[in-house]
Amino acid sequence: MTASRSTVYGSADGIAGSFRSHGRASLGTDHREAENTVIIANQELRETCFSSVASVRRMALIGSFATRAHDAFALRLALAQSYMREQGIGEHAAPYHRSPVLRFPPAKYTHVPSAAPAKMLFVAGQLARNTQGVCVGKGDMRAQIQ
Amino acid sequence: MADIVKTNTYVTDYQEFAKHPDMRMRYFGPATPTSTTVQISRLADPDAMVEIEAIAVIDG
Repeated sequence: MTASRSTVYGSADGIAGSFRSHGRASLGTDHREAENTVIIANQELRETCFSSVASVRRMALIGSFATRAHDAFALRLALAQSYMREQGIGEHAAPYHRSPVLRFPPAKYTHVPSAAPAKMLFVAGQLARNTQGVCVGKGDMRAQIQ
Repeated sequence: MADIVKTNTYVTDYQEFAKHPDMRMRYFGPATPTSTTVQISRLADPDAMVEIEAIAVIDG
């Protein structure tokens, strides 16, 4: 099964702008979003964005802006989902995803993280030591992990 | 912690280490980095039971 993608320019649902649509026709699923939609992968950032949308919505109501304004803004936020890359919808693929061939239950770590070109930091092995360099939590694995 | 993409963990007793998976979740959350864990006979500090090294990626 492959994802179908198309770009629709013009107006959709009464909101002016460029939109793209993608989905899986074989499953009867499809959705439409603004061309410049921001894909949000981080849970904390996602909550912040939703909160911002709510603020804009309140401002729109108070300021008597065009009623479509806040809806258009909300359309530009989409959620990244880990399985989207597997389904061929790269726009919604989370940057950290679990490989379909390396999935173990229960997964306590990501099997295939990816990173765009950036500065890499190599952190030396960290031991459970205090500021005097003395090992703390002797004989207590949990304490040393912490 | 959110910038870490890989950890290598060295433990002196893997069975004991495996009793505390929640500790990793506490610090990394659901977006945990890739990981390799090995058991070794001892660490540089004879009292140490675990040593964790990491690779992080940050904006240039």
